[in-house]
Amino acid sequence: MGEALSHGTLPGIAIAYLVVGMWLPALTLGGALAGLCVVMFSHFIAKRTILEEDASFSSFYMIALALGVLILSLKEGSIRLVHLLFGSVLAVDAPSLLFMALVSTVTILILMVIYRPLIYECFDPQFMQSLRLPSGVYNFIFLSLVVANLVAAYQALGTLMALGIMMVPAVTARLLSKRLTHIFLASIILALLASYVGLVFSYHFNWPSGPTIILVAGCFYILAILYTLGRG
Amino acid sequence: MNNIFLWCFSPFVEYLFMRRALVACMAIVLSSAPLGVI
Repeated sequence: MGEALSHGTLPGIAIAYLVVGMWLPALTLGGALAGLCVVMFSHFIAKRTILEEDASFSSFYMIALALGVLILSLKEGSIRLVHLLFGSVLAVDAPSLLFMALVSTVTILILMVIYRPLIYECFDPQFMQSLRLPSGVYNFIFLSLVVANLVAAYQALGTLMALGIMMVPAVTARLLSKRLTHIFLASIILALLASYVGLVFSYHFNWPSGPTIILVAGCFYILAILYTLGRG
Repeated sequence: MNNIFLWCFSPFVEYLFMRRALVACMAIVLSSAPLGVI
């Protein structure tokens, strides 16, 4: 699902880039708007037609990705495009660093507030309904947080890798534990470790940093699979 | 032993952009990882 969001924001970013050039707030706003559009369209289609939400997400994501790449390559050469797809964490400057820190802080705060209702809504929707609490609201807040984080992660890792840093440590952590708090902790620790090791490796071997970070996370994932298989 | 320490930390001690990259990654990761779990 996050993948569709990540690529859904690409046309928004591309259009904002065409209009105002390389100005970060506008790019972010465009990306967030486009991402939210993809969310709402897919939600609407999943409700009105026989298609599942996943399926309509993936078709929208293909359309959005194609559109974004097309618009960008009309404007610029392929170098910019590569930057946007794979990121440039080594060229992060102070304003965008501040922006990422801001997004991260706000996300954690909001997540703390909506943690309990969100968990109930994810794992026990009927309980939420029995309490007559507004259902769907928390889901929407959550999706907005995902969009904000993906947009922030572009700067560092690019559209293709932003999703990786979100999903791979989470899946790995899930393999290792059954308790939700442990999974949260493990995913954060794994992701921190992956970004540090990835950066050191990319520096010493002269590899591109975004893919290296994701590869390290992927190695953790494979190790975790081997560990669970070995344990039986 | 000393070499290993150097290998691990020298990029961040020597270059500002590496420090920025590290902090940027950590900021992103701190909030993205919990989102991925849900």
